[in-house]
Amino acid sequence: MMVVNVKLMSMFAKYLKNYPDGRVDVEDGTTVCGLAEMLGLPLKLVRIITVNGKQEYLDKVLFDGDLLYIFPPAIGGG
Amino acid sequence: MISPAEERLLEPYFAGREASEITKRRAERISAETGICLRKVEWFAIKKGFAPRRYLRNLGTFSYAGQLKLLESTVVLVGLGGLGGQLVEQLGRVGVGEIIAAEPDVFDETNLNRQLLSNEANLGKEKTYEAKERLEKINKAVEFTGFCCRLNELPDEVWEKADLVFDCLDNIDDRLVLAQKCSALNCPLVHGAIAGWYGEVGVVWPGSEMLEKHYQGQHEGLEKELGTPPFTAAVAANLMGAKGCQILMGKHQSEQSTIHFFDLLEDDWENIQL
Repeated sequence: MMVVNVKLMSMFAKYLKNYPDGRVDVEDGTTVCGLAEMLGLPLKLVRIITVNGKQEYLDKVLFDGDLLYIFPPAIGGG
Repeated sequence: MISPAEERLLEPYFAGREASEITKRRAERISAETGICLRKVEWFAIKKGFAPRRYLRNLGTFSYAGQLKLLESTVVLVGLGGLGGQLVEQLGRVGVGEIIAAEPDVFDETNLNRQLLSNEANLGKEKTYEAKERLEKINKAVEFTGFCCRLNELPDEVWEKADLVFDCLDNIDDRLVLAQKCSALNCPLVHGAIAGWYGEVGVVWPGSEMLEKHYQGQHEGLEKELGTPPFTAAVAANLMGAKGCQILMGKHQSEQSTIHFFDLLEDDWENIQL
């Protein structure tokens, strides 16, 4: 097992309500997609993903201590 | 910016005088006496080392050279809603020389919570009309042209003049059309979007395909579900204004396309290079 630090922006924040400190235990070799599914995130709304400040994609394999951000889209301008 | 003939007309108003501040009234009088527009009078004054009092609190931040570049610039605002309306105010006060805006809509009651240009008396009026009225109240030197039309109906000569474009749209399809247009014109684009407490502002350099990568074939956002409150619109628009003015003045840090995300509820700010 390992611990990933997760930040979910905007409407995604509610999917972390069981992890108030954002620290999520996952199996070794878990991908961003695996973690997002575990949290119940709607994958079709996942837009930008960063791991340790670098843009990544759903198939990225996570490591112990990684900092993961997942951003939903915003469209409004009006 | 000005012709030799205009320079000859303006020169006597400044020659032999110690450089100092110049009031709005004096600039307007010079403009009336010479028939040269206020934008050019202000530009020439700054060139000669005179500080228009209206820009006095800008100059410490921008320098005379920066203020000159702003006055020389033409920007295109696509959309005059929550983002575009705030930008009219910011860019007008800052002294961007020419603003061209495209917006097909009129104000309605649902705009009142956030759109700076809307008020109870102007519901039903064209947003472009109100933008012109507002700019005439805050800075007559700014040249404004409003097109009450959609993005794809803007005439070619508008795009040819643009030094910078602001994406203040409200849907992904138009945003992507605009991004492609700017890329083809080799013109930088400042993008902004909001949903609830959350917003994003990006500087899109030509050829980066940043918005294409960002939206990845998606056509719907979250703002209908999450709403568009006034402070999120204001934060995004003001960040867009700051980024835009940096680009116009050549002060922007790098030409790497960057997107800034903020969540005002979680106090979280993230910058990502794409």
